[in-house]
Amino acid sequence: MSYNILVLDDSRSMRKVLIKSIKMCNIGEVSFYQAINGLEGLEILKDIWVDMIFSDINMPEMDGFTFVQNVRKNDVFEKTPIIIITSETRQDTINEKLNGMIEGIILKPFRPEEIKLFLTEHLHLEENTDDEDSDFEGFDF
Amino acid sequence: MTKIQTLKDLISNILKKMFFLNEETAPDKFMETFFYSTEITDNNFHILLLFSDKLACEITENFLGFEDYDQEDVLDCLQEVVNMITGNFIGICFPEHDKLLPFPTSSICDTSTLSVEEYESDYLFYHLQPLKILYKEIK
Repeated sequence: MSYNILVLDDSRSMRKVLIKSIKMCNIGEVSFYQAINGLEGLEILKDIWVDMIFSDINMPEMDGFTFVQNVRKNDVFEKTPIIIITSETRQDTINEKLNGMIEGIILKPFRPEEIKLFLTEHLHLEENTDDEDSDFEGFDF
Repeated sequence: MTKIQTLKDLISNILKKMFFLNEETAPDKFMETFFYSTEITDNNFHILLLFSDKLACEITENFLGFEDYDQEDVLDCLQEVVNMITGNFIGICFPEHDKLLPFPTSSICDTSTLSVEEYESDYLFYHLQPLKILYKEIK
């Protein structure tokens, strides 16, 4: 099985870490698409079908709130899982602005196991309880 | 708990959880030599963190998981550090804050021109390297 995953974060290092964390989950072949803000993310979605989106909130030019709201207006991506990864700890604010539009929130700092939970649930992967196929042991970002 | 103590605890937790650095007890003597700074300015406060070259590089290497990084990676990682700290800090100390986090900046610092009299300060230590925390409320 292969997947397309879109990662939005204005921090280059955070995008690298997130992609590395996803790769460590060994979910199969993944093509990654990267954007530094919501505008770039929307541009990518004009041409590419993605299976899942991980997005930061606080980005220049177009933040994660506006990005998600625009994505959900597009019927093609109406049900694409969107996970917010953010340093914003005020989840009430996020839920209020994105009520029902996202599948989950991961707060920074996070552990890769948290990423795997969302991948497993929303890409409908079989849960591997002994984590034989994951590279988390002795984990280093 | 004072805000700077909250900040210190948050930095310690975040560097442990995502950057794999365990805080050490303060040494009797240490060199206060800093090479990188990262900061964030909000309507309510200013947070400024100072790092030695060695500590900043260790943070970057631990975060990215490879040794082949450049100075831009270091500056970007330090911004991510202060971004995570600030998000968590606002959640605890300024829960009524209703705006998005301000964008952090980082740079190679020139401590000779740094005026820090108005700041509260504290330190954390990693492998005998100090991380200086400076905090100022904006009235």
